[in-house]
Amino acid sequence: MCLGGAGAQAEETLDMHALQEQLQKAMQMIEAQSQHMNTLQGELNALKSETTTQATELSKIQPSAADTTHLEERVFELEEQIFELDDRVGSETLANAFDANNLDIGGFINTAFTHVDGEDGSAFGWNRQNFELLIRADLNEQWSAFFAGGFLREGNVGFDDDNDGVLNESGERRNPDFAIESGVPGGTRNPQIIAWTNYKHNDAFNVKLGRMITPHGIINIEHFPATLLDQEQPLFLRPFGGQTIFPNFTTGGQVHGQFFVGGDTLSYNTYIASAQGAIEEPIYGARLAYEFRDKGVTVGVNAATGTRSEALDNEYTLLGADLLIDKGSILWKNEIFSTDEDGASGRLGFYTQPAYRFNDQWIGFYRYDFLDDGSNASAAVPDNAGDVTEHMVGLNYLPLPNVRLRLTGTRRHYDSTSVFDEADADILQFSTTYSF
Amino acid sequence: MQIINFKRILSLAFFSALISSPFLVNTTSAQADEYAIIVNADSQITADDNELRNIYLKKQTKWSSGVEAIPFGRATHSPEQNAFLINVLGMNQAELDSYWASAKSKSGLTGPREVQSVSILLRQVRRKEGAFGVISSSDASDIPEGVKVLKSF
Repeated sequence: MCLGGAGAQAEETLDMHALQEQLQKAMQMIEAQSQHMNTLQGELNALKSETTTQATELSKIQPSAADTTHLEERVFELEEQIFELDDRVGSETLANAFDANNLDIGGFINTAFTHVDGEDGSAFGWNRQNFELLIRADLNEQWSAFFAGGFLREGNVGFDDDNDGVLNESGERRNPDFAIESGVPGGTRNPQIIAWTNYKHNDAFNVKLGRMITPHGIINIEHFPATLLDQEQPLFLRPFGGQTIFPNFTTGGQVHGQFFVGGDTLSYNTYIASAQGAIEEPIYGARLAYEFRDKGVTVGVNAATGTRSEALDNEYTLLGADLLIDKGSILWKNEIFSTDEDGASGRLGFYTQPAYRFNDQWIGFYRYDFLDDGSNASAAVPDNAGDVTEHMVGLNYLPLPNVRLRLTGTRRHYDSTSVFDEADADILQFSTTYSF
Repeated sequence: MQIINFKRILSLAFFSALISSPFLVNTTSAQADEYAIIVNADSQITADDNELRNIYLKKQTKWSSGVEAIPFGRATHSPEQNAFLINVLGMNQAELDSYWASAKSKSGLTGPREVQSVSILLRQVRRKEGAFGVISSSDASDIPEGVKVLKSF
């Protein structure tokens, strides 16, 4: 029995060893699996980290909302430009300037209907239908040229008291009439109004050659009706006895420029030129103007001397001053010119024209205008024409910045002389200017 | 003759009175800095409002530094353009329209090129040394290299 018990104990011991070996193997396997798991976990973490980095990088290259807005804005503008180009050009050919870097073309159409009620009658009609073409060409920053050509059909208000068909003979003032240019088809003439070239050395020194607006005063320099409150120029700029107080246009050379003094501007013009009726006779002239920008005030002084007309051979010396106030709702123009004539009496013309801008579309104005044309100062000239005075009120309406409609009423008064009685004429005018 | 002399005296007195008119007072407008004038970063431009005004209106064609000026406008009636007109030019749109209508008739000059897009304006200013334009302050906070703010208003 004892031998049998010892054998059983030995068998149990053997089983225990076997179990321990199996347990040890199992532990080794678990440890190996655990290491494998750790390796896998590491790989997983690495993958996760890489994915996050990639996502971050991806977010960086995606556009922000601001970038998108700018991009859309640019695309929109480019599309608009392409559309506009296509709309303007279509399938047609482009117009090219021969050599100009820049070529601008514009112009305006000007129309007027006028009714005149005089002492001995009345007249009315569409007395002005003008088209003027404006072209500017720049060769570079220094060289430029400007041209204005007209297709003009117009008849100014005149008087033909003796009904001989000739307007504005000395003293005529009672029987109003218009005279459309005769001798040309349809009464239309095509004058060269402006044609100059300009060399700009800098802002202070320019040289201009050609036919140009005579640089005196305010309204003569503005000249074109697109910005004028009234189509009728002041009395001293309208032809009287064939001549204005100074030529509206001259042909020759001009040196001009401007200096900037803080916010103010000092500008000058000097010229040697000739009037249309006296090509061989020079006129020397100058203008100096100072603009007080903060106050909206520009003061100018003007002087000239020369010969207006070869036929009359009359030399003259001109002195003048002008004052422009352009501030807020106020637009006030004032000019005065006086001449000393060789062989004739001196002339004097002035006006004051205050205007009020009610808003961007409506402007009201008044003008007091006076002209002594010099023909009545001598007792040796009995048939003097007398002085003329005008009171004008007007209203401008601009439905668009480029369209101007005007209604003006004028009372013109002729002073009495030793030969002619005084006379009045009432003028009502509706006019439009369409510029482009 | 006496009448003429009287009118001469009257006219001279009138002009003298106008020159000393007391109602011509300065007006200014004040606003927070909502807009900025930008210029090329390489330029030596140090302009004040008077110079900006003269250049935009093409009275002055070079900056005081000597660089050829290239003004750019913004779209008509845009907030940037309106602010520029009021605060720098001291004009409203109607006055500006009238100014250019007169300039076209007198010499054929036309207004500056209008640029609607901020990014196109920025590119133009970066490329052209004498260029300038106006942008809103929010756009100015993120301007690219090559462009700098000359002044804010």
